[in-house]
Amino acid sequence: MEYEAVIGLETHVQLNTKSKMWCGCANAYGAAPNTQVCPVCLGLPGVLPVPNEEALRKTTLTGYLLNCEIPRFAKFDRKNYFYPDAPKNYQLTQYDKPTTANGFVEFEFQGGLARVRITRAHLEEDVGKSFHFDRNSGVDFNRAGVPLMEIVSEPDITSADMAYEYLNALKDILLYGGVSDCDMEKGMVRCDVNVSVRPVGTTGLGAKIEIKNMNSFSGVRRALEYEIPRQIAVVKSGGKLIQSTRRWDDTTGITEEMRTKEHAHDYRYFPEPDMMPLAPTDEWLAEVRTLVVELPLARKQRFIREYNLPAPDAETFKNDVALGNYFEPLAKKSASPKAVANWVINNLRAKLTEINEREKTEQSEVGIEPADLQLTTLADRPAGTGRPRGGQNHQQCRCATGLRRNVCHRQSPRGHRPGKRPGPG
Amino acid sequence: MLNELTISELTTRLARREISARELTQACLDRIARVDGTIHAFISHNPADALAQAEAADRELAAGVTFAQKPLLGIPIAIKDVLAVKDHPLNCGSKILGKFISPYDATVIEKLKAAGAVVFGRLNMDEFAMGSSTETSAFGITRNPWDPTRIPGGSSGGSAAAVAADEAIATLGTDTGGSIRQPAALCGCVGLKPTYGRVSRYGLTAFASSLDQVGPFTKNIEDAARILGVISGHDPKDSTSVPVPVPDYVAALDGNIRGLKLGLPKEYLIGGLDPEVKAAVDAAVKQYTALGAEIVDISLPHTDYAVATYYIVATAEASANLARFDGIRYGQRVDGADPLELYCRTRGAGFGAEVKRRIILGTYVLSSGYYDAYYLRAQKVRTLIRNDFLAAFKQVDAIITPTAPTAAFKIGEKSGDPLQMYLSDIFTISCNLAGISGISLPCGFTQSPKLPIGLQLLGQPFGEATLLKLAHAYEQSTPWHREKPGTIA
Repeated sequence: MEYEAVIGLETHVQLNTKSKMWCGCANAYGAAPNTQVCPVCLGLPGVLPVPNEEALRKTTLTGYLLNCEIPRFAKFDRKNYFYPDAPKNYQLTQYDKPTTANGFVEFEFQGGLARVRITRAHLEEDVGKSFHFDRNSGVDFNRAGVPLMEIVSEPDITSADMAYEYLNALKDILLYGGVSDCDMEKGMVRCDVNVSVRPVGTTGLGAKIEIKNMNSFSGVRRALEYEIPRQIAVVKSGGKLIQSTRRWDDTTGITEEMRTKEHAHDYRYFPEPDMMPLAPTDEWLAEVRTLVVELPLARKQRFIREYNLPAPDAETFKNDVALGNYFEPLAKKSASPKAVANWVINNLRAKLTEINEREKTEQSEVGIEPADLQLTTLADRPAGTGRPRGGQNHQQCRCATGLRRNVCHRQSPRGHRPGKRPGPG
Repeated sequence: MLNELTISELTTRLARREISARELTQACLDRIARVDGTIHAFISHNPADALAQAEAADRELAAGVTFAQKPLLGIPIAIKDVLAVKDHPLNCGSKILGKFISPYDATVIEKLKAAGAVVFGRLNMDEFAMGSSTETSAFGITRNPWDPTRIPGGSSGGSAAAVAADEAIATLGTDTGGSIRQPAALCGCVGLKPTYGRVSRYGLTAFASSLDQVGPFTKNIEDAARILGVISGHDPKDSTSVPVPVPDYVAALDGNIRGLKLGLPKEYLIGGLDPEVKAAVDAAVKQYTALGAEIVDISLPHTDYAVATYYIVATAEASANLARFDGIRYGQRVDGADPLELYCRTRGAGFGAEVKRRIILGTYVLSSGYYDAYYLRAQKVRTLIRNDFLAAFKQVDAIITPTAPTAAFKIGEKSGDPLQMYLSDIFTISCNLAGISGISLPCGFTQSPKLPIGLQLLGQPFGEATLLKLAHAYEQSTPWHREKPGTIA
């Protein structure tokens, strides 16, 4: 019998708000331990949470970007469990009335379009970080109370590669929306993976096995590449899988059991009495809708359609937002957008890379507005009449040699920096 | 003696510079030195700090600061041990907080300080406000100034006893199910529980977040109106506080209650009601008629479910609220081999029996498989109880009831029987479940021994002005509030 995997992902993303979720402490990575704390995020007696509106806005915006419904009633709940990094010994989260629900993500996969349904994107708070020393342990509460968005997918993912592509697509969307910096190194994105196996052609779900707290997309892929065959082997050899939680060991490349269903936590969720329920108004939602940006995939498809670009060029402009933004106005005034794309990608980007390498910067702004750039007839040559040759490129666009650093403009016109897509592996 | 006077009397004399704030604070401190060995209203107090604040008030008075600018300038107000005062100990009547010193001020404390009050002392209370007699405190019992063999009520027993014994001009307490009104009744002073959302809870160590409110204990109604005016208002740090404008509560005390309607709920005239308490409340009802108010018979049909509902909602919230006392970040820690052992030892040693009982009860009602039958159902019944009151307030301006079924009981009389103790809150807890306002004021005494009896008025949400007006009219036409306990040995 052939088996297939059924995978759902819970992705935790730190929002890039200025302050924490319930207090005015800075939401910033890397400060000395316990320097970005106050009575509220330390859970001192008597403190109360006040929701951060920027975090609510960014979660709602994410909902729009993930094609979700935005219910007119949402609330926070207490999830009760004891752990030294949890200042209140309960976590505030949204249990049954999330801020967004029922959306989907579309992305390119294996030459076609894949769609993964989104159950919900809800808001919660991050916890502190434990450190273990020789004779004792310590907790840094700088991270406690950082707004954390949890994006829960439906079990629509069927392979390790698909999980990997889904996560990359999700990350691109979050970067485009400017809701998170998605810096994996800084733990801004963490995943829980739910995976089960079933005979191909059946629709039931096998025993759900959760792999907790993965902090890289490649880790998710490797864990699934290990876990799926493991589960299939168990079932094929007549064994029985039970609902359980497993831990991924990145060094040894295996998953190991942490606890089974019998030992599952009873979190005793109940509505947070310290806060009023959330009831977004029409005006507020309209304001959030003005922040909606074109999605990465839509942008790529539009570049192909409108400028007749080959997919790899459009992909480049999808991944390098600033470069794409530079290309677009030029393309509009050119008879040959493809030739402009070649010049922007091959010459302009190369020049920027060269400058960046020389000056040890990550400069992404050209320094000359596209409007000020005059296209010569050469660059206006209709597409398909031959690729411009290297030596001629400097003459194709006047001012091109005037390329320089412009230290004032790191932000792209859309208001967000281009995100670098993680390389494979 | 200055410490026996009311805020209105004292501010007049302070404004005329007849007395100094320092003399006034010293009078309270002297009184504490004389009687608190018996009463034990205070867990601790810092005389030097109190006097320094009083001297600062005197300097402001000398510099021309008026009571219009700072309505409580130089008035010594003592604080229940559940409210955070910067640089003061905060123990909540419990061992578990150890030597904890609060690094911040509760919003009500900020407001008192901004109004010029001398904020001093830590008043005894039932541990984490769980109790009706102040006997569950880890810092010893507080005695009723009218009879030191009896309890002062609870959980704000220290707050009530300190006012009744003239150890402070006024105090702050908190009320989750009657913890202001019941001790006020048993000690013979005024105790006001504001509408939920009227006063900020920021800095109030939560027992049950959806029920807790801060309120004043005072020697008369006018003083309660003065303090309520200072501590009320929306607080950006408490998202459950409501942005309703704060009226001039003192101005509302015009004595004119003619035509106001008072509801008498038939469900409150129950079997366990002490005959002397019943007689005093009946007399108060007659007095209101004489003052021109109209008495209307009303029904609050879900009253019978209030105690059960309360002990589900309150304990559920408490089980989560008290989870933070784990010995990890602050408070008294008893070490263990791993976090679980540390938690068990710390909480096992730190919490008293009543707190443990309520945490276990609250944990149980929220547990998987029981949530719907207990917590969810209790929330539904809570809505019905609130609807009872909202329907009644379409007919009447306020509701009149006894505050407690009996006068102060003996120390130890009910501490072995939690259910009997819970039933002593039977008249007060519906008010918290409904989120409305309530006040207790003296309405007479039992004969032998002479113990105070409290009258409770329940008011509309944000109807404190009417409530105070009604209470004030009664108070001014009766002698009870002027009586003082006899000599305290």
